[in-house]
Parts: sequence; C-alpha cells; structure tokens
Amino acid sequence: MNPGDLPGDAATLLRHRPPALLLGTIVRFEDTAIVCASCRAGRWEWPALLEGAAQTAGLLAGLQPGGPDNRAVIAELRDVRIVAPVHDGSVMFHAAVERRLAGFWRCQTVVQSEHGSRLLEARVTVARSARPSACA
Amino acid sequence: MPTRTFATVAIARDTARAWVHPRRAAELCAGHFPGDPFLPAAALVGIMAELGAILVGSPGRAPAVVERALFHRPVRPHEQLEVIGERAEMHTVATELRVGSERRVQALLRFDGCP
Repeated sequence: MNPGDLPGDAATLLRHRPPALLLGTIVRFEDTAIVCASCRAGRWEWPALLEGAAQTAGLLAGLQPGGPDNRAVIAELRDVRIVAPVHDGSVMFHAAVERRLAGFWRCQTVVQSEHGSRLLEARVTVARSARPSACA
Repeated sequence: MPTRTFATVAIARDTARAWVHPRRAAELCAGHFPGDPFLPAAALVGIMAELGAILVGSPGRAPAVVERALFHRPVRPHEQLEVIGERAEMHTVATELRVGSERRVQALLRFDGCP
C-alpha cells in the first residue's frame, strides 16, 4: 500500500475495538516502518504499552506486500525491555520490519512518551491467523 | 492467597501455581475481538509476570525484561487458565500458561534487583 492510500486512523485497518484498541492516528508510514500515536492519554501499565507495540507490529506486517490480514496473531515476543512500568500521558508507537520468514514478520518496536523518552522496546513476531499454533 | 488476577496461588520453594479468575480473563478480552474473543498476547505475559513477581518476593513488580514469550495457541476467556512459575536463577522465572494439560504460552522473565 502506498503511504498516500493509507487511512489516517489505524482503527480502520485493525479489528481491535475499545478498550482493546490502543492505536489512533498513523503518523508516518514508509514501506517497512510505521509510527502511530496512541488513541488515548492517561495511565499506561506496561502490558498495555506492550500490547500497543504488538498492534503496531501487526498493522505494519499487514501493510507489507503479501502481508497478513487483520486476523494476524502474535507468535512470539522477544527482548522485551520494560524501561517504564507505568506511564501517564500520550504514547507514540514505532515499528520497523526486521525480518520476514515464511509467513512470519518480525518487527522491532519502540514505545516512547509524547516527549520522546523510551518506555518499552520489544521484538514482535506476527503470524498469519491460519497458523493453528499461534496466539493473541 | 487470592489476588485480583488469581483465584488461588500456591507457592512451594521455587515454584508457584495459580488459577486465573474467569472474570479477570473476560475483562482482558474486552474489544479483543468482538465475536471471536481471545486474550491479547501482552495481557497473557502480564498475567505470567504477576505470578513471577510473587515468586521472586516482589508482588506487583514489573519484570525488567521478558527474554522470550512463545504463543502456541489462542487462549479463550471461557477456558480455565493455570499459570505455573519456576524460579530458574536468582532473578529469572520460567513460566507456562496451561489449559488442562496443554501448554499454550511459555515465557522467560527477568526481574532485576529482587531480594
């Protein structure tokens, strides 16, 4: 998909719905990298930051040529570094494709505060939903 | 020892076993996904980290690092979820989430600076 063809709102590409939906505006998309703003401010516990990173990786994988549809699932999380277990405010989610392997897309993700401080980073592997042994 | 997440927690030496409240599992599925609910990957890791924190003697503490979490099959909110943790090293806990005898998720967690 060309950047110009992208809807501005991540919700149109994801099947998450509130309160599970954590992504708002797609701030930037360039082939193998994406930046999304959170759809809310307020208090963030680290699992929510990680879930937002996973949603961003899933969205990016779906935008790749031959990428999965919105039923993609998370197969693996790796090297998750929790810098800030709790955050108050808005959040920016960054993801970049690191590797593609037969139906799997591994993305490096970074979650930052609205002021640019790093809150969490993780490698997220996205799989097609058809894989019976993947999850979430 | 019930918590908001666990109906029961049993600890014996370096291992812990807990059952997740069905109500809590249902809460974590809200919006994920309507008509096809299953627990988000991050929520599952969060549940496993809660048990890990209890096991290392710091309830409520977040892990510093999730070295690796593998998701074998989706976890549905109506299923009975058992979490097992084993303290592997001073600051490291290996955890599994099971439904019956089936392992659904494995995660290796590292807690820095724990007692």
